[in-house]
Amino acid sequence: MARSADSGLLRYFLRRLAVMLGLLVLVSVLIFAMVEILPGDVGNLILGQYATAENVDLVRQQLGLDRPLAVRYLDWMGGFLTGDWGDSWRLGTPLAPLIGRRLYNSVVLAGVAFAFVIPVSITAGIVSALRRDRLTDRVINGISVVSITIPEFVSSMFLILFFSLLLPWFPSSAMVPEDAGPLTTLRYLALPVIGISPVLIGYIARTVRASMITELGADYTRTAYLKGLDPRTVITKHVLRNALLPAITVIANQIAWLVGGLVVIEAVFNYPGIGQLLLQAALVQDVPMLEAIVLILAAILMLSNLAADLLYTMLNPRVRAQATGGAT
Amino acid sequence: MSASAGVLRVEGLTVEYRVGGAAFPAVRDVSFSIGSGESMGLVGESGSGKTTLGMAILRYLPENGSIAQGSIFFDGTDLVPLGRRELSRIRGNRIAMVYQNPASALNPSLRAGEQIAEVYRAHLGLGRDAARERAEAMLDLVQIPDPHGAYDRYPHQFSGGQKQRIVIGMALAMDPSLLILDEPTTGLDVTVEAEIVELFTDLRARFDTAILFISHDIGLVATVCERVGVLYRGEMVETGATAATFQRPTNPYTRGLLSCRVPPGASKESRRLEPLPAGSRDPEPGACSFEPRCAFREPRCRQEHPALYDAGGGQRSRCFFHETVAEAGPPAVTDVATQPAAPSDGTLLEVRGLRKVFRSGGREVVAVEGADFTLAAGRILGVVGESGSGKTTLARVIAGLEVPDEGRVVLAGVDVTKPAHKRTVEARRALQMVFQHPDGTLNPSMRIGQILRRQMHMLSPDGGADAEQTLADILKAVQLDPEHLDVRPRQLSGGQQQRVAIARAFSTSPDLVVLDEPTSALDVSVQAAILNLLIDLQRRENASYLLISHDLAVVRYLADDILVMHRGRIVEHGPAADVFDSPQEEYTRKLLSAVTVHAGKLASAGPPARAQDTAGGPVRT
Amino acid sequence: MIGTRLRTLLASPGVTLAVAVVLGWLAIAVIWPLLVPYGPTAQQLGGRYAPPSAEHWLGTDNLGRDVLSRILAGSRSVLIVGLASTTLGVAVGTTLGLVAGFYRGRVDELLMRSLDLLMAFPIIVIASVILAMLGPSRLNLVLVIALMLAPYNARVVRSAVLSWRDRDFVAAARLRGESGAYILFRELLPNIMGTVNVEFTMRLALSIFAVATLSFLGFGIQPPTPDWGLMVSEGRPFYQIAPWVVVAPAAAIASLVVAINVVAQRLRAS
Repeated sequence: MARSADSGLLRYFLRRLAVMLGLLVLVSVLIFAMVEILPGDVGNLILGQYATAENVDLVRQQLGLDRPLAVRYLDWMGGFLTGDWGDSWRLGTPLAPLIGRRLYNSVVLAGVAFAFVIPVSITAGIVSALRRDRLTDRVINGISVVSITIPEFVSSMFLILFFSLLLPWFPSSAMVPEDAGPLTTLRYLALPVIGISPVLIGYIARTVRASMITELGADYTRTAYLKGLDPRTVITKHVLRNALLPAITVIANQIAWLVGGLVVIEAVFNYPGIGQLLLQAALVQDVPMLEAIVLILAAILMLSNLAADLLYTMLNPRVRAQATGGAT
Repeated sequence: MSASAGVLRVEGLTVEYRVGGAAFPAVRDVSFSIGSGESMGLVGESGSGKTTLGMAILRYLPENGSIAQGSIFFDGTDLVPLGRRELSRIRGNRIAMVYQNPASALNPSLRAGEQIAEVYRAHLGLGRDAARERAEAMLDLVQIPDPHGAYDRYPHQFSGGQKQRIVIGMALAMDPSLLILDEPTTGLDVTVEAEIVELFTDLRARFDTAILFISHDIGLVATVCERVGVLYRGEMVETGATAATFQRPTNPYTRGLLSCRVPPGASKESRRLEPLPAGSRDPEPGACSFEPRCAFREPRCRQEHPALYDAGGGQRSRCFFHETVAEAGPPAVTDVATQPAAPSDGTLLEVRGLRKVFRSGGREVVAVEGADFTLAAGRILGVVGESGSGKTTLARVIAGLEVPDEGRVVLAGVDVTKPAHKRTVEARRALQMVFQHPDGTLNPSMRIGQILRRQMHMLSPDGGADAEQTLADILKAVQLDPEHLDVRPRQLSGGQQQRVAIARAFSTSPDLVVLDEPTSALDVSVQAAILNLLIDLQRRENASYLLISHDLAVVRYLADDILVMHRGRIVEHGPAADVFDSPQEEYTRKLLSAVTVHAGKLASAGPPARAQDTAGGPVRT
Repeated sequence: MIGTRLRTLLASPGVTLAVAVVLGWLAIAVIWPLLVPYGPTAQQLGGRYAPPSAEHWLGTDNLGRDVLSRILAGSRSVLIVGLASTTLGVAVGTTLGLVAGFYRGRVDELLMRSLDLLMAFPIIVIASVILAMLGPSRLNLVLVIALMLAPYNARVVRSAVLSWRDRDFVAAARLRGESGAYILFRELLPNIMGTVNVEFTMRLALSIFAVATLSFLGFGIQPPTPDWGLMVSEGRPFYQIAPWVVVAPAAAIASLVVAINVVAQRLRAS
């Protein structure tokens, strides 16, 4: 029985992975089309505004931009899959190592942020649901409303004002020195993490709260109380299990938000991550860089959605049964 | 207190809800007691406070609910002042509860067996293995096959009836002294209900638990309970032994409830239903709460509040005139003016080889298979079946809300095997439908007049000046006032909304009306009035009905012919009397026997159904 | 109907304040030429980085321009772009949601999967890339933000429609032979207008969020037009010497966005 359940789950995973890869290919086509078709002149970008038409054409030829679209796409994708991501038009250096480094930095920042956000937001959501409509709940709710709506750069500016300019606790620029130990790193990362957290915490906490309230009012919760189980057991064993499932989905959604937020936060705090790279590429229309970064981000987002989906399916018995065709 | 004081003794209990600053009493000064091993029923309609009462005994009220007054003595201890911890020790252990909708009473994310085992762990402190053993034993006791395997399965893997058994198992795990059941079989199919009742009766004999059975279903209460209490608007209006109380009601409300039930085996030819009047105004504060609807009322009833008086035979009644009521006996049977049945104008509806399949996500469900039948003009055809029988799908295909995969539907000689919007205006006028849920049947953002006028405009556009007159006529026919034309649906009661829906259906004089559970969502007292209305309209318009219902008594009452459906197929077809009195098919027999399980005891208790040859013309009480 | 809506809004002091803030900014956006003490682009190179004083209530920036005037003037572009993009986004999203929710089937599948794809990506990333290629302009900004808002809106409207379309009064309408358009717009839409209104307000908060952020990043309004996001970005290098240049527009953004959201939450709760 167990074996068929596991293989059912595995098959489900492989099916979803295949779909995801297909979508990724589709997305890559879209990205390519979007970026290449839109106006913007690479010649002027590389050679400057005063380049002659001849030289611009020469550059285009050198870069292979006079070939048909489909050929260019296949060339690009082929290169991508084999690890040759081309060179940046702005910098003239290979993309792969640069993107790799920057990606690593951003992942560190994102990791620290999530390590902070997830426990805080889930706790806040649970507490405010349990103390519904009382002072604690209203306070948390008020803070959430404010934190979700204020753009990250605005709240970051205030953070810098208070905790870097007025009270010199943290550096306002998150350029972590090469040899910094974990504590120093954290000190540099503190403000960016706090800058990007409010929106994430707000959304997750609200979802957890709503979901807790629904489950607290469910019939099975009533049954549990009427069986004589004590409140702690009812909440930890019965309610949380069902209430936290939607949180998985929300957290996955927040990864998308986080990526967008990184662009802003890295700009505000001068953090050498992939968001900053994307921004710079976009401002000067550095096409290969743009394409590569967006594709990488797309892949990361799709993977994280897939992971969240799988986690949810594994944890929810009814959905799991549907997915694996009956075996649980 | 001594043991003979009973397991449960409720004294003067008043429960209030705080709504928007005001206190609304849901339960008022209710007192009753249940002895050890005894089973007591609490009967009431919506708004009677019966569920609140059940919850209050277990002290599980929502945030805005509170026990304003009274005591609840359980085995001598008053539960009202107890704290959380002490209550936890009693709940699930000495008092347990089972209620409606078993699917949601179980936690979908925990294994079924575990949900029984945790009762043992919490109250007996048993370890994991010991608790599992006991849980499996309980699963076996409630007749769940393969208890060991079942322990590890999740709730969604069990059927509705099995889920309710598991819930019963959880409740009986600690052998409680008192078991409270709140509508435990509502929503379950009749055959499943019968199984549960049977299980129940077996378990009762074994466990000797006292029972409080809360239900709106008088028949069920009559089968299961020795004593009964009738609740109306939060007050106990009558108590007594079940058989005695239902045979000789001493309270006008009880009497009314009994007489507006559709007696099993009765048909529209034999008697007319006696609806409880709706009451044109609210009761006076400080006076009798049933007075506005009471046939026995006197001026005193509007000024004083009656107490529970001893009405003889162990019964107590909250009525000044309980003797009069007792003597009045069951309401005189209103004989129906026996009209000769209108000569049938031939076949109105013909259904041939109908097949409808639903596909979702790769799976196929055959809802209807090989349906073949005809319906003559002016006749009522009842379609009965349990959930999954396909009766609703059949109705929807005939009405044009679904398109069949195979087969034909012919209405008055015209092929209408297509969606409603593709049929001719004439075909649409000829076939109308009345739906189950009053609150979804009218567009909340429109006024009644708008709704009705639009209907007439679309289906009889050349109504012209007559339209307003037709509108007035149909309103009168469904017993609504012209003022109702300007209100929105939410300002009407469920019964009134259903009347509007019926008016809408009949406003263009349809030849065939499809009725999909037209009274299932209504209170019993309202149901009778609507059924009478449906009969009157049918006779007046000489329309045909296709009546879909799971309620066999209602179908028996209304229908001339019956179709029995099971898993998408028609398994039996014939005149109502034949199908009910001498069913041919096995499934029909099973269905009917399930119904008699719960209606059976009441058949002898309730007002007798009289045969057609009673002398005298129509008598109205 | 407006009366009850207004009464619900004014029920609590917090919400009343929020409504006042929103109306205040709307008024300023319209009449700012009458209010500004100085021209928003008037440079005064002699008085750069002046801290707040009687002549310049919010000080001056790196080019000596009066910050207060720039704040007041900047309200217009934020609100115009915000309102335009929200209206467009909600109009498109609502239509898509109505169609998808009512007709279901393949149309619904296709629509929802494409929207899912779109929603899987961060707004800022897509918007940045598109604006980078199209070039920043107010119109492009409106179009891009509307494009980003529409999917969320479509989802919400679609679920609202789904919850209404199976009601019996819809079946009754079909039995009458009503056309799809009639059912959609005359039977269903009046019942979900409440949802649409709330949606509009919530998306407005989101679109102003997006406008401000995109301007900050450099993809939005271009200098020298005063714009709050742009002002924050321009003032960043001088944050230590002249913090008011950044704090003022940041506070303006925060006040508008929070106020709109408070109103939106209140509308949703009712």
